[in-house]
Amino acid sequence: MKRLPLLSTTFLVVCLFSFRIDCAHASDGFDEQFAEANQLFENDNLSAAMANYEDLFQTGAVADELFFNLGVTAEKLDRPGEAALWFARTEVLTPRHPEALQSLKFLENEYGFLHFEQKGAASALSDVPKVWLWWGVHISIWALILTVALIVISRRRGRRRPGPVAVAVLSLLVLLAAGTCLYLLRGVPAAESLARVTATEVEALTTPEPEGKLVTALPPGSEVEILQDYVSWVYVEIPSGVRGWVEKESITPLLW
Amino acid sequence: MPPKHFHLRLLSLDGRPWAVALCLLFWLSSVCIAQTSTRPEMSVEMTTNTPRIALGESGSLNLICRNFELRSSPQINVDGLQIMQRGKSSQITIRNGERSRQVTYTYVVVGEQVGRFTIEPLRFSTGSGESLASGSVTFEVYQPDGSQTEIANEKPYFATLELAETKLYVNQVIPATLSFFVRGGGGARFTKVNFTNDALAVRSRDQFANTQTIIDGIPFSKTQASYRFFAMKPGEFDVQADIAAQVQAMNNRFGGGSGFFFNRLEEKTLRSIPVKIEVLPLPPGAPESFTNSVGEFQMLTQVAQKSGLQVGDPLQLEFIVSGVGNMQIMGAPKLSGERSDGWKVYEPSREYDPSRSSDGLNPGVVRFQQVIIPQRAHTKLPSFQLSYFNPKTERYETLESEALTVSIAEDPQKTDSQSAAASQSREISTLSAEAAEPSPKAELPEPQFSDVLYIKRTRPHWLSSAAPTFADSWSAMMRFHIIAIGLCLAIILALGFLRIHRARKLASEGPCESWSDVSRFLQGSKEKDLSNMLRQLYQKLCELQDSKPKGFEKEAEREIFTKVQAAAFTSTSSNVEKLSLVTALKQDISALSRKGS
Repeated sequence: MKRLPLLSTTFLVVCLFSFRIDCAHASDGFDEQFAEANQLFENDNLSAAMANYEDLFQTGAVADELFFNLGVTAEKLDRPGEAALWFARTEVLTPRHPEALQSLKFLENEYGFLHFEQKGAASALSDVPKVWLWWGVHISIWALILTVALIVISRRRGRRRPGPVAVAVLSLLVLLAAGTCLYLLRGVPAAESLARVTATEVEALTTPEPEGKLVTALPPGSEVEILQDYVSWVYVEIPSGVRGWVEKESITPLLW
Repeated sequence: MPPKHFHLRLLSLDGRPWAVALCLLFWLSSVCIAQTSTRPEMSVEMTTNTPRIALGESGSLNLICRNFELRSSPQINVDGLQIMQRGKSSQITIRNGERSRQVTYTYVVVGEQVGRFTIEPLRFSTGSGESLASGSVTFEVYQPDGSQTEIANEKPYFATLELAETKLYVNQVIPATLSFFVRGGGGARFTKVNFTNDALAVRSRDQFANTQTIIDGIPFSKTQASYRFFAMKPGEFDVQADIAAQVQAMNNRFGGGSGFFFNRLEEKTLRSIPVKIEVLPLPPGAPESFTNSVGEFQMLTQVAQKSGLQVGDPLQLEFIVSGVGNMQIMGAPKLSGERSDGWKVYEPSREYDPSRSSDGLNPGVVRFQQVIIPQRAHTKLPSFQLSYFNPKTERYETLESEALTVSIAEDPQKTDSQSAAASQSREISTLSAEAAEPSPKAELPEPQFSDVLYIKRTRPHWLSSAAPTFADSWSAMMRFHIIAIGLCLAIILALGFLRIHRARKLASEGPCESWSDVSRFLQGSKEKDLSNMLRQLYQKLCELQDSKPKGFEKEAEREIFTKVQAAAFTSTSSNVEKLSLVTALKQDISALSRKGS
């Protein structure tokens, strides 16, 4: 019974590492093709560079460097919507990616695309991935269960241990903090439902048909939240707080 | 509440007649002001949904009068077209308290001859004596090819694409008509149209028309949509459209009649008959002011203020470019090097309304706003240039904005302050450095987001190809819980096993010093060999008796000892009797153990 705290810690560690959180991918040949694409870019052969980068992505290569270079090349090829999409994807892999953020700022100034802006506490927390918060909730629940069990067993044996009590209080604080953050972030759209306008001259319409009335024009690169899917149309929430129908082909989901 | 005779008293001559006159005057003036201030703008416009019609087939023409009405639909006569009045509709809109009325006169236009026919602007005089003129509209009547007749005999649905030209230049806009034919059907509605060739930039005019037609003696309903498109690169291409349409299938339950209530919509997808086009490259030698546009244009220049200007005052110029051609990609007029001397030229803005753009047949308009700031005195505006390629003449042509006369004087204050600053700087330079005042705090430089950053050349850290979705994380969390619960159960089972194992060990090896030890021995003993178990129990009881200085003092203790002694050394009793004895002993010993603790 003296080994219970050690057992509890081992228990949580085993739980966490018993499955794969993230794994490095076999990168055979990716580096060579990436270098080749970079060389093509430097030789001003932008279309070929783009094709090489896209080919890499199609074969399963994922890295923030690749996504960022795809964004730069798309911008140079005058495809601002795609450029914004790739920069946003870079940020999915590496939140607050400085180069991607700066390039998105340039695209926003240049093309005036719309994007969701958070206010107040949600703005400060918007960079914290919701997944991390959920993990915080789940792990702290188990830590709390284990430490409370430990405290109960120790008391029945007439022993008083300060360690488990401290861990229990800490777990409770983490649980409360993570829960509060999740509550504050409840209005932030999930990455799965976000998409970027990749076509040009896209218009949100009142009905899912070409003759629908105009709701608003969507500059390339604009962020939208997909609410509903209907044949070749999607019903979207637009950052200015309005909703409308856009053709499915004119937008690309943020997650690949 | 005012008294009932309040108004009478006010109106009576012995009351305040001057007040009555004042009120009437106020009311009349306010009515007049209201009438003049809210008077809506009148305009007239002529439009068509079908700029291209096949010979013998019909299109439509709309004459839209805003905020005035004609006594009767005007007759329109154009050789080569048969134009018939169809009807009139009106619409009243109230927006921000402002009421406007729109009356639309509809005409049916039938192509009688092949060619291009322009309906010249119609002029009307309103009730207030104002003269209004509509724009012109051009119809192109073409000879349909024979492919329709062949297909009409074979297929219940088919689609054709009619292009105004099949040989065109890069960036030259041409109108196209997509027709969807349904044999004997009740019409169709396009849900999605995709042009298959990436080399084309296509824009829908969002205008649809449904008509009936007869091909080779078979009645067809025809749904048409107008498009304008241009090719972005030279070459030979097949142009065709993938169409998804809702077709009203005739499903008459009673086998005749109109079947109005029983028609159902069916989703149909098909590809239009391909049309081959040849796209020619633009010839070399484009002027500096060429902004990619192809067509034929005119330019009008307007300036907000011409006089009373000083150096440094911004001037807003507006260039209104109208004509037939590609306005979608047209850039703003340019000011060449020498002409820009003495002017600071800002980035122009563009006002482009796709609905008012040219379709390659009818004219459109695009506006550019340009801000320039004079850096010295001027008497004339600089002349901006706009070049385009004219496919008719097959040459580059250049439009030049009018060099309007303006009056821009030097800013006297600036001149004075500049000379004063110069003299002051000379004076200051003579003063010692100690006497000089502290310089103002320098402003922090603003970051300029003028371009995207350069590509990254570092070796990437390759990750899993799957996107990190929340669903994945959620399932990972569920796995985490399942594993946690599994481990919990394993720990509980392991602890239980350890406890039992320890009891057995104690039962077999440990000394017996209390009734609790005897009870634990009994719990941990196997009941397979009862005789052996009773003998071991007897030994334990002997150990317990020896450990006590006075032996078994209580009656219950002695009774148990006697029972065990008898059973351990008697071989005649059956297993059932032994089992019932062991069960009874377990209860008694457990009771003694509880009492002892």
